[in-house]
Amino acid sequence: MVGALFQDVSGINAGEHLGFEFAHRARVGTDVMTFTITDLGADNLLGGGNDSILFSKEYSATTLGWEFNTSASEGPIVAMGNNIRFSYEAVSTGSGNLVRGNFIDAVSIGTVAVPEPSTATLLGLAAFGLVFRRRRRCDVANGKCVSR
Amino acid sequence: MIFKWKNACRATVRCQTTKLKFVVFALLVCLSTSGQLRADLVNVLVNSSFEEPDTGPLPSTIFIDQSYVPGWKTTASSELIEIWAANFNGVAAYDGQQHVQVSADELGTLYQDVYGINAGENLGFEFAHRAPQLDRT
Repeated sequence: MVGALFQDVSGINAGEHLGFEFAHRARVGTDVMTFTITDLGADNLLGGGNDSILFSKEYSATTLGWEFNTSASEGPIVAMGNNIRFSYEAVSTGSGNLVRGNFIDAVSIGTVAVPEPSTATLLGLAAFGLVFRRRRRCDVANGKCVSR
Repeated sequence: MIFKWKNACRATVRCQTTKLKFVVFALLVCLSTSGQLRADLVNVLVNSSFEEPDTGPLPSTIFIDQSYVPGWKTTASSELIEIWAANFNGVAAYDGQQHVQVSADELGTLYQDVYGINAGENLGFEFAHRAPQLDRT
């Protein structure tokens, strides 16, 4: 059985959004590992039938250099208010041995602020307004732009 | 800025192209802001870069009990965490001087079950043993 490297974190409120970033590099060839975020349930312990996987994904890296992975392109990861386990576990390694591979470094995991829907809507409207202004300014009359 | 825009639009074709480019750019900006806008990550982990404990300036890989590594734990029954330091085996850390390998060791037992030995018989054994090469798991 291969061990998983993890940290358990408390004090993150239900509804808060989680983000992460970490560097990953292979030891030989290509290494693959799983990064998992688990809500540990009301007992705040792994197991017990009340755990929830909030996020899980396999990451691959080679020996060419560190891959810096982030949650920026992922969907919302929302805390449930219990303790949370952030865990890394080897899936496969270029060495053929699960305990010879998958380096990690610079791990940051925590909460991220997400704007209220009204804020996002305002930003969207502002961008549309900007487009509209530019388009009117560049309307063509006889091959030339006419300013308003 | 406005003056430059007017100038850029004097030639009909260039004007249209420039206008189209700007509209596409603005739409992309709009789309990106209508989704999730992530602010700075507020890190809740400790020892994020595995710099603790400091294993010293020499290139090395050490297996250390999790109790000496602030924040981090392993599900391995050995409770060992493998820290690589100071460019050991030519691998530089991404940040700082140290990084870790996700899985440190694998505890296993090589064994044989034997039957047919009577109660009271004396047992003996012999075997050879040596350490592996420096590049351990």
